[in-house]
Amino acid sequence: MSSITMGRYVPYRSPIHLLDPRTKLVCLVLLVVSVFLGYANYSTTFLMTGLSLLLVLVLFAMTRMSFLSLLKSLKSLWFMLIFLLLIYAITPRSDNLDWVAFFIYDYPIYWASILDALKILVRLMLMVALSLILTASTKPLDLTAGIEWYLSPIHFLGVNTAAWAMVLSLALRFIPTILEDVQRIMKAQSSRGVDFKRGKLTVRARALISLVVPLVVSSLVRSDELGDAMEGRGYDPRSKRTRYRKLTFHWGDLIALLLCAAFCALCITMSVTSFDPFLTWFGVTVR
Amino acid sequence: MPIQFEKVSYTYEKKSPFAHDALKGVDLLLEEGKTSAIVGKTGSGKSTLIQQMNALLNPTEGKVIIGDFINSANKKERSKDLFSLRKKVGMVFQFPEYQLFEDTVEKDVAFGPRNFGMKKEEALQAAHEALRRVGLDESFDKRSPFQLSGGEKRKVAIAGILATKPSILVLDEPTSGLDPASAEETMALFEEIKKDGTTLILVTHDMDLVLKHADQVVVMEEGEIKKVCTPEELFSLSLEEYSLDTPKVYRFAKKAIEKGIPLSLEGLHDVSSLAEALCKALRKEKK
Ligand SMILES: Nc1ncnc2c1ncn2[C@@H]1O[C@H](COP(=O)(O)OP(=O)(O)OP(=O)(O)O)[C@@H](O)[C@H]1O
Ligand SMILES: [Mg+2]
Repeated sequence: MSSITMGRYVPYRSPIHLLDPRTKLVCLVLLVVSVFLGYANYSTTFLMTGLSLLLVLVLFAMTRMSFLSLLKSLKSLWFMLIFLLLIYAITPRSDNLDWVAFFIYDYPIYWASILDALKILVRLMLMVALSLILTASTKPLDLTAGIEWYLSPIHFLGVNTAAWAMVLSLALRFIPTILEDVQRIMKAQSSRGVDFKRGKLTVRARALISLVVPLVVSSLVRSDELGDAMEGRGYDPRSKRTRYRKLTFHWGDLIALLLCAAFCALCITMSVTSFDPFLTWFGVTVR
Repeated sequence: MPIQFEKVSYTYEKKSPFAHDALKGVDLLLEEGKTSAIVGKTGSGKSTLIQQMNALLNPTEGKVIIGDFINSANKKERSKDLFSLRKKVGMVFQFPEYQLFEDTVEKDVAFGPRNFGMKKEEALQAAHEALRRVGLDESFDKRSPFQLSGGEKRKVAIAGILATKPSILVLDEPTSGLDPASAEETMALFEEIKKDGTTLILVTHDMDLVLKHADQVVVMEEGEIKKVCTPEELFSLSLEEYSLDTPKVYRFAKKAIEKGIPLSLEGLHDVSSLAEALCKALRKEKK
């Protein structure tokens, strides 16, 4: 169960925790962009993905999160891998069609299909990992304050940014509460003989329904009550609110921004120029 | 089936900054066929303790022996057959209204028995029986559980556990939120079930209930067992030390003794026994 709570804010005092949420948001965008770039050939992609993976590992260690538990929580992604493999196997890309991994009856499965599927999967994993680092190291309220700051220009166009930020912060605020609900309902249903881990597909589907229905009901009830409670305390979405937390920008933020921008720039340059380090530096042609 | 705790400790979210020792080396024996009440302040670990009894939680140290099932911190020692354990140990949670999900009350109550292997008709039969027992008549059978009042939902949830015919019944604050008459009825129902040889374990803040129904009281404080004794023994002590309430009957009796009526506290467990003791004392006085 603990896998679900991956990415929940954990109050350590790591260098990453101390960064300004606005910095972290920009860094996240920069790094996600870097992760999703395409490169000249498979070897370069492999190299750059390896580099990104290394970076993510370092960031994980810095935020004191365990990469192993991330892998465990992504265990269920095998389904996605199979799906991707299937898609790529049915619609192989036109290049690299000479490079066959094996045949299923007479149908060729290309290495390109397998590698592409793996590539997508690893990139998704890296993206998830990066966002987990953000949420694990930033208080939800700080995160919304950061997002609100970026939204503030739209405020002049007549959009009620404060209300949207409130919606966002409530959504974030209720993630752990809903996870608690999940655990509580799972316990109650387990006591009634539901097995969430094993069983045939139909049995599992039923188990899932016995979890989801009470969850939706309790969430609706809760949001209703929350609305009343907020109104009861005089919340008015149109009036201006004062802020308790102040966001401050430090030297560390500048350094983090520069590092991320540099990494992103490197990736973009390599991608746009189709730079192939193996050919340029070592003179070897690889796939 | 007796339940035996051997040096059981439980830590929530071990190895994280949220780590919290909810149980600290608990040794306890709950005998078969008796009613044991577990009392203590909010947050003293009562709910955590009872969840060890049907292996919803596994101890982080020590072991719990429930009949032939061993719920141990040591994975190798831990019994595998959760299914038959949960069939034997029925658990009604603190907020059981959150587990309802079927479209009719009877189906929801039959859900547990179905999971534990009863045929559909058999399960419905058991459901009807259980519903009548908790005092909900035929008109409730086909209603949606979501349109019931809080107390009725609770009764449905209790019926859902009773229908599985457990040999140990664990109740986490079963009467909170019920009106006094329903609470009384519910407790009477549990007394009746106990006559069939069912072991009752009752978590409650209501000392009147403890005095009236329990054979044995377990006092918990900050994850430790402070005292195990009979209710009479407990309430004749000064209770400030455990910050528990004195039952109304005892409060009255103690006041009466202060005013010079030679009441005997022995065998005092509800209003009628109090009246009897009072009459006896007054008659003696007259002579
Ligand atoms: N899921 C959880 N994660 C972390 N800590 C928890 C969790 N559940 C309970 N605790 C903590 O463990 C301690 C014991 O909790 P428990 O629910 O057993 O108390 P309780 O005696 O049942 O209280 P109450 O009378 O309010 O029901 C509390 O301090 C609580 O904060
Ligand atoms: Mg509790």
